[in-house]
Amino acid sequence: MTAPLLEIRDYRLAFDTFDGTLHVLDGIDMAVAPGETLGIVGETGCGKSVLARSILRLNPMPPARVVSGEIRFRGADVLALPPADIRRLRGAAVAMVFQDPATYLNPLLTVATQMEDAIRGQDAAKGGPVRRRAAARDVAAELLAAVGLPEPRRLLASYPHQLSGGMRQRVLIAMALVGDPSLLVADEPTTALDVTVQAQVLALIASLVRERGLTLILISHDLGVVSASCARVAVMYAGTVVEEAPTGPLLERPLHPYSQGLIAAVPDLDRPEVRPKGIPGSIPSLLDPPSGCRFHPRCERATERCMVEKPLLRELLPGRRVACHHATAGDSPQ
Amino acid sequence: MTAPLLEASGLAKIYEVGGTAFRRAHKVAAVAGVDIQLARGAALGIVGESGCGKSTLARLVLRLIPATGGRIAFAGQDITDLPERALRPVRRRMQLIHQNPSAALDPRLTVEAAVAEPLKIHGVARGRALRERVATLLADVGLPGDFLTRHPHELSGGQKQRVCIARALALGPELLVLDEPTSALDVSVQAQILDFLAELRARHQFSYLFISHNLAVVRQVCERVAVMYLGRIVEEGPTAQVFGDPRHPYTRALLGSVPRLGRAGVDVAAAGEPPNPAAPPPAAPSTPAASWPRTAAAAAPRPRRPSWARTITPPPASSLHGSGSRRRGQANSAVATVLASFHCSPAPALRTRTFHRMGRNGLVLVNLRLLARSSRAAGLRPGAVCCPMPRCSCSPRWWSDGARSSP
Amino acid sequence: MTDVPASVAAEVAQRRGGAARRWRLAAWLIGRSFASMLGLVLVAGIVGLALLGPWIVPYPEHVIGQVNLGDKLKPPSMANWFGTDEVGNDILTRIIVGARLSLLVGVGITFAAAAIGVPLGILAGTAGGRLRETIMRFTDLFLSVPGLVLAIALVAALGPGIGNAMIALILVWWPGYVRLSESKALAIREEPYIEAARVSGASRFRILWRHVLPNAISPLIVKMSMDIGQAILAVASLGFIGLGAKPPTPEWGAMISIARGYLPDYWWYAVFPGLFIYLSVLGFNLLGDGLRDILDPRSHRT
Repeated sequence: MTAPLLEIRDYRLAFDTFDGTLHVLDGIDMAVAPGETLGIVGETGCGKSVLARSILRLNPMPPARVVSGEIRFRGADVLALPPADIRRLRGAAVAMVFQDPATYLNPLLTVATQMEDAIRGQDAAKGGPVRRRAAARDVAAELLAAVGLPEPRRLLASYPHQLSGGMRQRVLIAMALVGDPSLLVADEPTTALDVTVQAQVLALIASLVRERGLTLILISHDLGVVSASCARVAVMYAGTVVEEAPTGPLLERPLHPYSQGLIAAVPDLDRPEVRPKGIPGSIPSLLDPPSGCRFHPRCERATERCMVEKPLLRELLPGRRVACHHATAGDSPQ
Repeated sequence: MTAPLLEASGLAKIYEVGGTAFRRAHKVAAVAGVDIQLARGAALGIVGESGCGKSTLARLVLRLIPATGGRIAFAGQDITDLPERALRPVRRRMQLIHQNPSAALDPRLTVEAAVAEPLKIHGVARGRALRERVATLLADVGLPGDFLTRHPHELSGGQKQRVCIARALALGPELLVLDEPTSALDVSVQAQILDFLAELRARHQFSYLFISHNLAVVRQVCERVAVMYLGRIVEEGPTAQVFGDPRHPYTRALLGSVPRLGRAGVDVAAAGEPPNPAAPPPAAPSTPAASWPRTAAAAAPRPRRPSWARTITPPPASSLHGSGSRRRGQANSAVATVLASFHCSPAPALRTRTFHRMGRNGLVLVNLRLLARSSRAAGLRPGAVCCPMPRCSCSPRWWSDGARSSP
Repeated sequence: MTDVPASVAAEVAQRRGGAARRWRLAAWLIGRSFASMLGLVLVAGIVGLALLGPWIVPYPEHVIGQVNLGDKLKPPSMANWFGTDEVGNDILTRIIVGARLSLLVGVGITFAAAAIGVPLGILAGTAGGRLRETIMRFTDLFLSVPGLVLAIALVAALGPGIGNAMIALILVWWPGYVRLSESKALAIREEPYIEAARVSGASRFRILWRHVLPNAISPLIVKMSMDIGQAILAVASLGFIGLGAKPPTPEWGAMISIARGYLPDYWWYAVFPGLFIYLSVLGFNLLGDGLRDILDPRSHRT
């Protein structure tokens, strides 16, 4: 097996707030190999976006505080990098695409200005010669064409508000490609988009992954989106990874009770006779998370052991890891 | 058959935007002639993408905004022009559930005050009876009594939506208009709320007008569904039939775009983006009027208005040249594929005209005007062949099929 | 405020709520910022002086102005901390008593202006159409004349005196409240909970009173706090040019006005009343900033 591109080990992150300490991430273990596509799914407050931002150290500290663990990108400890190196990492090696494309573009500047700035900023971060604006503009036009935007020259002259949501997201993806990154972290990239446009953007991301050999981490609350784009999925619940598996087997035969509940809750367009089932209860407070397994208050199979002992991710089947005391390899779905 | 609870005919809302002392306002049709009927106890789903006018339709039906055309009848009574005062008793019988429960509750009111408000307004109960009624309503939606004194910001999304439902139920309505009631909720909570809505309908014989962009949810809840596009209903019918055997290409595009569990990739069934009637992108100032191929419309089970498929009026054509015969061949086949997917079999004459070219990046670009002219030359009626997605995201001149043809 | 991801923040908020937390949070927010603390201390000091004035002054007989020429214009000393004025009255005594007048005037002007401006603004913001145009253009009329100049003209017409100065300043002050509450109401009008109230059949008055006004109140409180300081300053200004309180009423502006003639030799006469004007304006402004932090809904989350 090749060395992982990104490796996260026992990563714990807390937020200090007025009400106390929020234990947002609790012992995350994850490894992403080069060229892999990993999806992270989970519901509101499970910590998936915080985890994504951690990779680039984008969480504001304070209030965020690393309690323990390490994040290694190509072997280098991201958490210990000096600020200059972190800037080089951002954009150049790791690029991010965010949920709401409108808020990540400056409404007062043209697309050209913003892309040129990004390109020249990358030049500066690399320490090499900084390209002139005209040269940067040529690169920008090529990138826009690469993300499937026709007439890039004309587009460059427009302002963000003149573009539709899908075009803005394409522009942001083009900007993410500026530094020729090896890892693309997409945080709910299609949540703000209509379903037909979502399909286009997902197809674009898939083609970029294929053509440029990108490694992809795609974060979404939508199992369908992750299923369409990723070969492997990690399911998060209340700051922990509860299950990690190749996409197909996970959807067919989820092993963790939470994954089972999550999949059973999604209405299936093609099978309307199957009624979606909700998970009773609601997400726990991260101020005072449940002891032991964080899912135990909502879990049908919880026993005393679950309240006391935190289950660790263990490899139950080849390539499938589950954090549940009761999961067995023979578990059936539903 | 008994008279429907809600009936709208030719309902329209036309906004005038951008008018100043020196410039005539241009008209934007958010809803452009919609007919719907909703029987007692039935659930009708309205699906479509942003800007298709589905939320405007909800507000028109509830008389929250005045219609610019058409009639609305509720329980046999024409309420289109009913003055606000006379509307009040009708308001008791039709309620709205908002998309975002966090915004639909006044942050300053406690749960009790929020649920009690409609009861107070209509003088249904007061004092102790009021308190008891509110407590019963909360219990009905599955919230314990100690929620009464809480403020919205102390509740989770699902709990807030339950409070909103309790509030809507307070007056004993007959019609619930649900505007994306679960799109702000997590999927495990969504399932709870959907279950609850189904139970409510079974218990109280409510009628639901269920607006959503989530096709799977609509399929769960509604027996009938109407697909909206650019202010019009393009297909309507029993849910199983519309989703199982979609006749209109837009419905087909919509269904194809939904990512399915356990299936890698999605179909890119539609190019460009859903047009926004209120803020057309400047790249396309004189946009071709929206329409899907008329041939397909005729095939749809209930063609609403024959006139809606209009001739396209694209801007002047400019350079048209294929680059090399090999690429042109690919482009030709790509266009043929696209046209076929929208029920247009190009006539031979159409096929020979070069109305498309390869873009620099391998995209196939279609010239709309030439396409229209060729189609006329080919004996097709004007408008029979036109851009499947009007106002394609980029250029009025060129419509790209979104898919790269492989070299 | 601190930048906790929205999802996390919302999750916290839903767990810990209630009035007790709100008060603790308010105390925490104020205590965290030195400026807000200073503002609070200064305002508390002024209010304390105003409340206790007559009982704590060193020379109660000097309050109404006693002629005591033997002690006139003495520099600060142990007997007279801030020195004495031209008729031999203790300046500290007169400043303490003046605090009550200044505070009453400041609060009175602000509340009266808000009482006129806020209803008009909320009405304009929610009603729209011709009514809104009328109210807003009328407001613009007042706003287009510099405030103090208009006030001077009004006092000149009404005749000098503290009461007339207040009336003039109220007439100058209310348009600001119309502006602010109108813009706030315009934003609130679009909120879904207003639509929800309409669906419930709420009357326009009910929507204004129960939903729009309570939700518009936060920025108004902030503005009012800051305006009290400004109003104190404005009254002092009118007093200074002889259009406000008349001597021997112990009013800070009027005191400086007289003291001006004795500068620079008898500096204490002008400096100490000036210092108190400065401190009270500063105090209300800093408190307003602190209140903005507390009342901003975004700060509630963390």
